[in-house]
Amino acid sequence: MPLDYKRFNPPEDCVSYKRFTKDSLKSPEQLENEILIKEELRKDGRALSETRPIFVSTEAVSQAKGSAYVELGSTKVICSVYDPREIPHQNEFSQLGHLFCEVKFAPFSCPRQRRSHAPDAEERTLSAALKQALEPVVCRNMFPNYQVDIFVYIIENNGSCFAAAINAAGLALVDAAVPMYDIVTASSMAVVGDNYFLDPTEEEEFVALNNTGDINHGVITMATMDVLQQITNFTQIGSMDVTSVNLAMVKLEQECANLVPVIQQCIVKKTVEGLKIKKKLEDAAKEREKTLDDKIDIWKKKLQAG
Amino acid sequence: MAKTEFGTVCVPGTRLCLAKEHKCGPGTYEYRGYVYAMLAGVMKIEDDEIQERKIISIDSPRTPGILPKTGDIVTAKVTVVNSRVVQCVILCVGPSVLLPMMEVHWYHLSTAENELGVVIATAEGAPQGVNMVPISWSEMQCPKSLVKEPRKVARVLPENINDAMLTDEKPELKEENAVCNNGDAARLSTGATSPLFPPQRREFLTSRAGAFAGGVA
Amino acid sequence: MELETDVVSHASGSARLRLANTDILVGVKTEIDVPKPENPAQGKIEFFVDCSANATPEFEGRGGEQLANSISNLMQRAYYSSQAFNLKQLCILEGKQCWKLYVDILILESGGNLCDAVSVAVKAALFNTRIPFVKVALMDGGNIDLQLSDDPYDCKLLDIGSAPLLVTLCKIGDKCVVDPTAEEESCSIVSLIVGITDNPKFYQTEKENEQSFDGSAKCSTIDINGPGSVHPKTLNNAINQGMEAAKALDEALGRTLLRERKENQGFKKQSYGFLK
Repeated sequence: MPLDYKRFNPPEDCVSYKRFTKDSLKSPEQLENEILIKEELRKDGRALSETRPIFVSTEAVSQAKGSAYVELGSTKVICSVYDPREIPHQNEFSQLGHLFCEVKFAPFSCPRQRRSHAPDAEERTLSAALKQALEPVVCRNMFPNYQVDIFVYIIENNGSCFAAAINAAGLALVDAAVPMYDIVTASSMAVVGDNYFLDPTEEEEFVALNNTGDINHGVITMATMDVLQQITNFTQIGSMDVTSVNLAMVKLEQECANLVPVIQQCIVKKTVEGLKIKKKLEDAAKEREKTLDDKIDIWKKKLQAG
Repeated sequence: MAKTEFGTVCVPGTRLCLAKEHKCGPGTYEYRGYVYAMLAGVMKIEDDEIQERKIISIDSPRTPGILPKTGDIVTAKVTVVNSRVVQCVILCVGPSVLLPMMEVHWYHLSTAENELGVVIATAEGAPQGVNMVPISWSEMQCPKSLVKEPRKVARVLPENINDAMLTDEKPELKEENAVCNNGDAARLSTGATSPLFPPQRREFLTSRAGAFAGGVA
Repeated sequence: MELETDVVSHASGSARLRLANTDILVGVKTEIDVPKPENPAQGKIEFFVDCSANATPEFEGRGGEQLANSISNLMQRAYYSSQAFNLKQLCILEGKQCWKLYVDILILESGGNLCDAVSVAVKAALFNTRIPFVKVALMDGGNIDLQLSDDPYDCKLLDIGSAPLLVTLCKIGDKCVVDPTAEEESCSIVSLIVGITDNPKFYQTEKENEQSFDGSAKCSTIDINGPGSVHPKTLNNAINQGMEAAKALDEALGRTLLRERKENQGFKKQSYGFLK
């Protein structure tokens, strides 16, 4: 981890105490056996194709044009979107707008190690992948030569943090009234052998990624636009053969489609609330105008009379 | 889509109608023969004056970021005056006030119409808050120092002059407009400009005028 | 496609690949390092891509940084799985010492299809890498005593047969195109990159082949690149297409590398270097 010069750093050869616990000394095979208790029953009691309860809401950050907060089980992600501004360091006119995405982990978010404040390679990869996922969704021709800033902060990471980040960013963009072609939803899956864990926890992801055997293993994250039937982002890491990739793709598509009504409900609720507030403000403004008009009438009459 | 007391609320991606039925208005786009929503808001169908078809558009409670387009009338405040160009900061687009943004570099402005030109200006050396009065289409005079200075004065429509009744001051507020034309040379006449106050916000005019008068580079 | 290995004498392994207008130079350096505490029996491999300003003027200064980051990320992901590249072969003494490979990729000329060329060049360079034999003794007090043999040719080679090859498929209209040129790349708004690890039979001699088993090709990484989106069917077709292309490519590459190695063993290698 690069040193952070704004803070007092511990001595260089410090290690996390977690490495001396019984858990970290388990072999990969033991860990593998642990995540699946019985046939089709996971450690946290879910079925293989069952996702964790999801909570979405908008207007989490009052200072941002649009924002969203998403919870996938205990993974918590907050995202804020700001108004289009000029692209910095740009010399030539670009016909399409740009998206500037930044993903940041809170230092206390990951269970295994403390994340540094400087953006490390994983955060940079996720930022690029988030941009990749959102670019086809936004109508970039509506703000040429401007860029929209999207900041995602992962408060707690317990698996599927990237999928939660895409969901949050998509919702925040709708909240910010950025023109979009469709709603984008994302979900992820961990594959270990013949078991497909939908919406994996951090433990399941760890086992899937660090498998040393000869079986199919890996983590796939997929983001789709449901109405237009398009995949905007597909990342796979690990080693899987084509049939398992295809099977995983089918399951993920289904799950992404299931998320759409949740996001839609949230948007409709917030829109109706916003319309109600707008109506109240308009009524209040009309009242004020009316009293002012009455005053003007009174003075005019006075002028004419006197 | 959801039917509420305000109308039909849509989210981005909602399929609204066939492209043949209605024309795409703001907030919608056309793809493969259908019209889809681009924003989250209430669907509105209005009559189009020119053509016979109705326009379908989405009305969002939150305004999307407004950007000046070619042909828009904007209000700008002059910041730098050179012999060839005058730089300014765009403050309002049409009737809506823009959010404070950094300087916009990519628009060429023109005042080549009767309605466009200088609205508020102050004379050199005059104290702040004293606006010049136009005496012809190309001259303005300061009421305190009686200095005349050349400006291209904007011809403002009478319904937008609404302050005269409320204050004692002679100088009347006019609008300064400029049409955006990418490619036209920028020729704003030298002088201070002031923000356009949209007709609905009359009550704030006098106070804002004081704050923005002056500003000759 | 022109490929030559062992072009840089100071590196432990190197390769230069010329694919039409794309020119890639890869150098591999080995260092002894302490293994990560979580993986005491594994070595490390790190990729670094440098877009030289020679390629296009846009790469001058920090211009090529984004592209370089994305390619190195892709390579890191492709080599992540132990089935793609087994890091255990880099272990010297479990928990104490291991080899760390620094794979430095230099893009000399960019004429389309960078990822594929980079992956082929990296595989060739790793095939060419010589790791010295190390005799390790654990002294009293936990000190490590390393002894490298004096003979520079007394080294071991890496088991690189299953290293992944990236295949880029550019979506132009309705079809996917393999190995796009720069013009074709500018026509498409989205491209799919598939990293395929095939079985190592192409990289082993006849004797070894009889003993190893015949597995099927696997994907070690899949990525979508570009500001566009794809239909799921297109993605499926593209992955299958990529598999076929990678298989053919792997076969050809394996044959060539084996042949070059045989030529080298007799010290009869005719060096072309950079003059061609």
